[in-house]
Amino acid sequence: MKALSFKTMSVAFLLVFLFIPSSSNFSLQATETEDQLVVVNIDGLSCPFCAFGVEKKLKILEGLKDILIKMDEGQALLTFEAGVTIDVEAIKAAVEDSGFTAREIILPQS
Amino acid sequence: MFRKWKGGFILSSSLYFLGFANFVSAHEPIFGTGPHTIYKDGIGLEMKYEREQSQYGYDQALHLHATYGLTPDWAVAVEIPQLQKVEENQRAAGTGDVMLQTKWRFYRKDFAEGRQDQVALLAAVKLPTGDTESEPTLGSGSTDTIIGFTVGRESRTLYYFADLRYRMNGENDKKASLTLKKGNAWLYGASFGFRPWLSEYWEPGLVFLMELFGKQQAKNTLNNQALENTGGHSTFMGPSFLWSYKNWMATGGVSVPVMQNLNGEQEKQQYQFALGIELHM
Repeated sequence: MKALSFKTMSVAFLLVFLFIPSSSNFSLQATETEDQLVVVNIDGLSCPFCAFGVEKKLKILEGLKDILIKMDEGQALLTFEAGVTIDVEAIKAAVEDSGFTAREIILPQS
Repeated sequence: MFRKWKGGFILSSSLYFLGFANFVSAHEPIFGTGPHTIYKDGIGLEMKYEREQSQYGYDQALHLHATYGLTPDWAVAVEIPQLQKVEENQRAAGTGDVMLQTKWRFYRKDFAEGRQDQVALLAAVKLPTGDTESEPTLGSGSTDTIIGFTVGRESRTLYYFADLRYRMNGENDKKASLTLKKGNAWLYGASFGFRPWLSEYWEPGLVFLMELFGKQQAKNTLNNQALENTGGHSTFMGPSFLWSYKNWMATGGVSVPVMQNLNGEQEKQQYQFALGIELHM
């Protein structure tokens, strides 16, 4: 290839990165009284960058309205829609798929 | 493939570390490597600029690196480098040798206080896709393999990484009845890092690292005859940083030689510089 190709490829790669969207913000909404809040205590949660995988995997759970990752507490706070059956095994599997361990899952008081 | 330099054949600007140092990178050293993988079905894209300055020229590379998580503990990756090499009055640019990589994290222990201990095996194959006709050459002309392992301990504030790898270089494409084989090499690294302040998931995070890494390489052979001005032992050290925001990460670092015990007369490295950006999807 000609000498120009290095610069050309550099610019092309940069453009690709600039136009890839970031993850959507997923902030915790005001919890309605009928929503179900589940607390997941996660072991090994050391860095915020790695926590993205936890959020990504938990976000696909059925009936999940909102999620908040708390690094200091090593927790994921999950808000499920009212009436949804919470699948504990699915939560555990999602955390495991993200490369961490779900030590404890605290379900809402019935 | 070769050029005459101070009385001995050496490999044309051999990209001393570029393209060999990084393995399925994530939240780990940028000159060495670590045991990190990516979450299941995760895709990581990285673009990294690297430059190596030596006495009589420089190499620079733009690596496009794509990683896929087959499982949370097993990742595969491909790295495609775009190179530019400058040696005295010669320069060449184009695609270099493509590398296929895999990493298997066979041990992982998670702790409640946010600590993670990990050990992983690494393997890679570097394919002879780079141009060997250019001056200087952009590819080695050989198929090389790397195997090794890496360990790491991460906590909310401190990071430790170490790795040991062995690179087995193949023979070149035997042009002009000459069979060149680069010497096999041991690669090693150790890093220590700290997070100056704790950050939450929705806040930018910063980690500083001090990296030490090196290479012990046997002499190259030409038609099974050892080449005197090749091979040796070099060790580099330098600071680096990891800056992240959710699924984006920027990395950078510079390293300088702390020891270059090279055989015969060889061009010495002066510094290495790297700057990258990574996205997980």
